Amino acid sequence: MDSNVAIKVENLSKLYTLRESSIGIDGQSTNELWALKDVSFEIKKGESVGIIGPNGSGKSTLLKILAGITKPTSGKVTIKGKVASILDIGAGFHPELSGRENIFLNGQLLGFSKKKIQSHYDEIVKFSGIVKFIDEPVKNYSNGMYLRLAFSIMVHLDFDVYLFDEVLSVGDAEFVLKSREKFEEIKSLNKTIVFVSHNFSELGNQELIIQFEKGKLLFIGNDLNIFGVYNEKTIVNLGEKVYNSRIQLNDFNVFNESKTIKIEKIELYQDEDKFRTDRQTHFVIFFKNDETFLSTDFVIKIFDVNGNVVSTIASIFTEPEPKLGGLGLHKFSFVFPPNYFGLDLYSLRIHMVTNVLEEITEIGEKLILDDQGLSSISKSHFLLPCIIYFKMNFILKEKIIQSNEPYLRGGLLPIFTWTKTKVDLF
Amino acid sequence: MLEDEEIQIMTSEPDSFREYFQKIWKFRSLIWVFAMRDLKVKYAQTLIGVGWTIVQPLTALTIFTFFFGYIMNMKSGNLPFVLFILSGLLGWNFFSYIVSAGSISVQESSHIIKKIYFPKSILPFSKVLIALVELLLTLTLLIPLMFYYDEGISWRIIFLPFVLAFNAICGLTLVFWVASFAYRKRDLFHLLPFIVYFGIWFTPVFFSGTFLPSKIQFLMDFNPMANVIKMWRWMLFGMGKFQWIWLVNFVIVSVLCVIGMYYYNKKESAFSDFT
Repeated sequence: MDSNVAIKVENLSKLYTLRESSIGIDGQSTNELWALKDVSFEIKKGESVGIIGPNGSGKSTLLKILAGITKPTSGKVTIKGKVASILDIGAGFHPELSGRENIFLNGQLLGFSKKKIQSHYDEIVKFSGIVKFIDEPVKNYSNGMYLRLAFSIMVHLDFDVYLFDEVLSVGDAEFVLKSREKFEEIKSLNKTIVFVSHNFSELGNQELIIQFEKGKLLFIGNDLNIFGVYNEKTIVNLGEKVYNSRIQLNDFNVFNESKTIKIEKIELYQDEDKFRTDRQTHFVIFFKNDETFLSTDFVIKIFDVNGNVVSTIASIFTEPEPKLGGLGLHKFSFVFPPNYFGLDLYSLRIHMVTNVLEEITEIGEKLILDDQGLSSISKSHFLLPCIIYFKMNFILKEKIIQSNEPYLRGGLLPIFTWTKTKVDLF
Repeated sequence: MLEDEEIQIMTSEPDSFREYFQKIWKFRSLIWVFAMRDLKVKYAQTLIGVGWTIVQPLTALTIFTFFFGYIMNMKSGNLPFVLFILSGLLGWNFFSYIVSAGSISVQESSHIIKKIYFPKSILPFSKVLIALVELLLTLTLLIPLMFYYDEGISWRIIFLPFVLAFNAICGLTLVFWVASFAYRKRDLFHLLPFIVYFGIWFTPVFFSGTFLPSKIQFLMDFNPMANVIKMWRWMLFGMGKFQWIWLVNFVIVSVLCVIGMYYYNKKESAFSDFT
């Protein structure tokens, strides 16, 4: 085997026999389930690899085989070095034993000598942040404490290959931050890391992505478009549409929560058909107002694939044209500048905020309303019942970036003007 | 590679028997780790802790001595009946603990074996260690009684390691065989309590071999545990004579144990899929 290969997987298959038979893909009744079928790949020493795929796609089975917990039905795995299999955090913990005893128990289960564990003991306890309770039985720990201790043991002992199964985001925010740092540290030590995660922001930093579907290897490489494809699929499976060109929505009959404001049309478009990051993107909303004394504002929220808000664009900061409020058809619009969107799949939601017009309240004359009218005003915030999913081709200086630049991923790329000058040496 | 990194190869083939022993050797510290864990856990949140290990045989001893010795007035030759019973219980409890704890050890640790690899025979071995601790504690009961009844310790005590090994192998053999064949369908596991509960009546724990009609006394020779108990008494008190059949039994059981382990090795990778 090549000396810089850490993990080599050749034609790996794993068959499970189920207790109950079910109808297979070919319509035949079968109690066979191929958790993995003919999977081959190589991971180099020092590489960090993210494995993605839907539930039941074989990710965990693969990790179990790599960890030696279960044997493949056919094929071969070769691993160089000491393997830390962190398939479940705190797997070897015993609730009746104290934190201290569990550190040793778990460490020894992972193949370390007592002496070795002793030499890391202080670091482990310090990192876990449970110095005070270390002699209490772990059954009295909170869930967070338990996980922190377990994670701390794993990352302080010295392995060559780390296998993580969706365990990296345990504990509170501070601990997550600490463990991310630790993780980067392990990476910098030229250790091989394989982990399964659904959190894409974690996977985004991996050098190699392996994607599974139904026990088969679908994709291997470092093309981060994989996220776009993967997420689009997830969203499409939910019955939604992902747009990559002009969007026009005008069927808002279902939305009648506001009696006075009626959304006519929402548009998201660029000047040419296909969405590209290097072009302006227009957002337009048309609505009809039936009341003179009400005005409306919109707040657009943009989310990334993980559901984090990456941008809030509110019209309330913009002064309306004189006499805008009140009766009639209105058009609000704004423009996303070029290079604002990155390589990601975004979703957009629209909040509508209705205000009683100030000048009218001051005069007070038109505020004679029946009860029904008042109650409809009192609810002045609505979330429009639509989510727009869209994505763009990532284009930088007329070149489609083949998206292996992980640093350009994530969130939006707000436009700041850089100053690039040359300074002479003193 | 500059450093001598370990290389692991995983295929559908089970480890060769030699590799398997190498792995057991590599993970040997776990035998102790699991045993210590179990002992700590067993006596967690108790006042007298490990003292409970004495209370149980003490109670059994009192009850059995009372019923068999006084009420039924059974005889045990020149040997005080208390010593006779205690030595029988010593060997039998050692065996029965290994069988009952060893056979459930895989299921008991299923949460670990699904997540961390180690050779599964570590688990029954660690139960042997616990059984040994309990046996040693029972000895703290037996030895003062031996002095009380003026039974000195003879040179035959040098056979102690052999008797212990014989005794343990009897238990382990059952564990390995049952575990190898019952990991999918667990019916065989339900047979083991019968062996533990009823086997005691086919073993001279409460009665000596001479209690049986002489025509069927030879049947005892086919029960390895009967041989073990007899050997315990021969070693401790010089009761009876040394018999070659003991060694024959030892060899047969040892061979069966190795075969059992061979199958256990072949099947154990499937344990994590079925427990």
